[in-house]
This record gives sequence, C-alpha cells and structure tokens, in this order.
Amino acid sequence: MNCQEFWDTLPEPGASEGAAHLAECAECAARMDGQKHLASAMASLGTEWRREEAPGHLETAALAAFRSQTAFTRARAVRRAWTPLLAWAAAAAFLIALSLMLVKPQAQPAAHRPSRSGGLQQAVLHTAPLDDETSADGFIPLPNAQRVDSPDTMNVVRVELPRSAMLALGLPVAPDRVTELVEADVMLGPDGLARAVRFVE
Amino acid sequence: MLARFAIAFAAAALVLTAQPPPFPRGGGPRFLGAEAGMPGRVVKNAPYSADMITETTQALPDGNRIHQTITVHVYRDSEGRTRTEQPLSALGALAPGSDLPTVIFIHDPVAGANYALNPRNKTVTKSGWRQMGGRGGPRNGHSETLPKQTIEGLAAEGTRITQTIGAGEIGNEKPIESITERWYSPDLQINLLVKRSDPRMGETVTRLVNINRSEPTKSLFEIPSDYKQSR
Repeated sequence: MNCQEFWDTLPEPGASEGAAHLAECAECAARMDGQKHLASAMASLGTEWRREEAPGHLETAALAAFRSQTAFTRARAVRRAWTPLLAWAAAAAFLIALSLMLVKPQAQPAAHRPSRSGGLQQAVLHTAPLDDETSADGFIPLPNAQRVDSPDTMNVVRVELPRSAMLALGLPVAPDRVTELVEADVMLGPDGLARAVRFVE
Repeated sequence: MLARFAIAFAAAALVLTAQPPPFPRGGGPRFLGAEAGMPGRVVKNAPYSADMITETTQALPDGNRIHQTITVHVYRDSEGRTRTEQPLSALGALAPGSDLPTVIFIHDPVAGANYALNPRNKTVTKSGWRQMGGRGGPRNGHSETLPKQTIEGLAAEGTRITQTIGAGEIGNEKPIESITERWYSPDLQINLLVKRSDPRMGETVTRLVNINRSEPTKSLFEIPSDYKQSR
C-alpha cells in the first residue's frame, strides 16, 4: 500500500493494512497523528460549548423568517389551486364575447349617425340653413330639394326607411341589405316637401 | 365545474338569441314619430285657411319626366297659431309607394308650445317654444321686382331672384341659372305663389288655393282630448 492508497481508503485506526503503512511511512504517520489530535480537540470543544445558547433576539428573528417563508409557500399553493379555475373562467368569457360578435350583425357604415336618445327635439332646434354640404347635426340635403331658408318653418318626422333610400343620397349600401330598414329623420319644408334627411343610429 | 360553465354559456346564448335583431329585414317604410319645428315668424291678425299645392316636375335626360303633386292644408288664426296637415307621401324617392300617415303640426305661440299629432294612432308630441331668429344668410343673386298682380283675389308683390353658377365653378361647361319667383301677399304676409326652376332639379311650383280669410275653428288648434302624449 502506498501513501495515495492509504489516504484514499481512509483506513479505520487500528486496521492491520493501515497500521502497516503507518509503520513504514513516517510522513503519513505524522499526518494521522495531527488528525487524531484535531478530532480530539473538536470533541472536547463540543463538550465545553454544549450549555451555550443563542441570544433570544436571534431566535425570534430566525422564527419570523421561517414563518414568512412558510406563508409565502402557502400563498403560492393557494394560487396554484385557483389557476385552473381562472383559466376556465377566461375561456368562458372569451367564448361569450365571440358569440356576441357573431350573433350581432355588423353595422352598416353610414355617413351620419346621431343617437336615438338625441330625439327629434334636437333636430328641430337645429334647422340651420343647408347648402350643398351636410349640416353639423347630420342632415344631408336631398338631391333636387329646395334649400332650407331662414324664415321657413321646418318640421321633422322620424320614419323607418329601406336602406335603398340611402342609395338616393349616394351612400354605400351592401346589395344584400337594401331591403333592410333604417331609421331616419326627414326635414320637411313648409310646402310639405322633404328637404333633408339624416340617418339615426 | 365544466358543467357550470356550459350552463352559463347556454343561458347567455339564449338571452342573446331572444333579443330582436337591430335591423328587421324586409317591410316597407314605417312612421315612428314627428316633432314640430319652430315657426319662422309669428303673424297675428291675419287669419286664413287654404290648400297649399306643390308640383314638382323633373325632366330626365332620356326624355322621361317625374311629376309629383302634394297638397298641404294650412290654417292660421288671429293669434298667430298655425296648423299644417302634412301628408308624408311627400317623402318621394325616400319612401316610394309607402302608406305613411298624414301628420298634423300645430304651432301655438300663445301657449308657447309646438305639437305634432298622429291621427292614425292618436298620439301627440309636444315640444317647447323657441322663437328662431337670424337663421340663414343673404342669398346671392340678382333680384328684380315684378309688376304687381292679383292672385286668388289677393294683391301680390312679385320678386324674381336669379342665381348664376359661373362656367367651370362646379365643372359646368356653361353657366347654370336658377330662377326663383315669389308672389307675396302683404295682407296675409305669406307667399301666394312660388316658382323655382333649376336645370339640375327641374321645376317646382307652390301655390295657395281655396284661400278663406275667415277665422278658422278654434278646435283646429287644440289637442283632442283622446290623444295621448307619445313621450
């Protein structure tokens, strides 16, 4: 047995093979003695410090750190438990939103869409003169209609018209929707003729 | 858990399908409501009733012609109240061949209110009174006074206004002239006859006939008791 083999096998003290090598090798014998002294010193030190205790504040701090670590772990566990539920809820919400989009038809683009809540009152109060362009309240002068003059009394009726009426004003209407109905405010002149129209949302 | 979501999803789908579609398909024009606008000017102590007839004639490039006539019954009492019985057949190209009702508009400066009546379902819409003023601007064009004449037994003052769109202004090769001729009665303070001609729009003639200068029946300017407020 050489020195390398001796330290690799760490023979138990008193073993015959190891004892033979220690008897032959003074260097290994000296190292082994040093180790035995160190082990003996550590054992006696442990015996002396057995009655020593850590300060109270250190124990409190250590316990607090332990509890916080435990609580964090518990919260993570709760979150982990809710994750599948939240995923299902999100999936259901997505499906409902998708069905809403599919059930409701796309709104037809219209040039002017005042709200229904605005009512006709709003319309009759703003019978501003109409020239060739659309007025601020969304009324479009009708082709071949007389201009709205200042001293004229203008009345407004709300009717439901086929979308094809929008074609007469040059507004785009999808061919498959011309028979659908759309609400419109029609401004009537004192002579009873329609002067302008606006489409209501 | 999955079953609960399936039930919730089915309930949502039922609610959605139970709602009417935003735009019903098919059907003809339908009357939904009316509101009387503000009168341009209140005229007192000049009562009358009459029929206002408007004829429009439009010549198409292929030689075809579109001719429409509408008659509106108009009334005014000495207090300046007015009543207009307006057939909605005048919506013309917007609602061809429709069966829309006649709507009655009453402007009452004494009560400070305007009303729109629908005799078909006996509903009335009331709106507040606001005297409109300063609307519109001066019209451009050449104005000339015409010799006075008598129309429907009333003296009438004539004015002709000629408006010209110069060549090239709207892409037109030649100037476009639109002519408006008004015959105004100083007694009734209304136009008895208005003629408009525009090569783009055709000709429109509005005239007052069957003029009766006696005081109209008071009840014409009142809301019948069996009418309900529509909103």
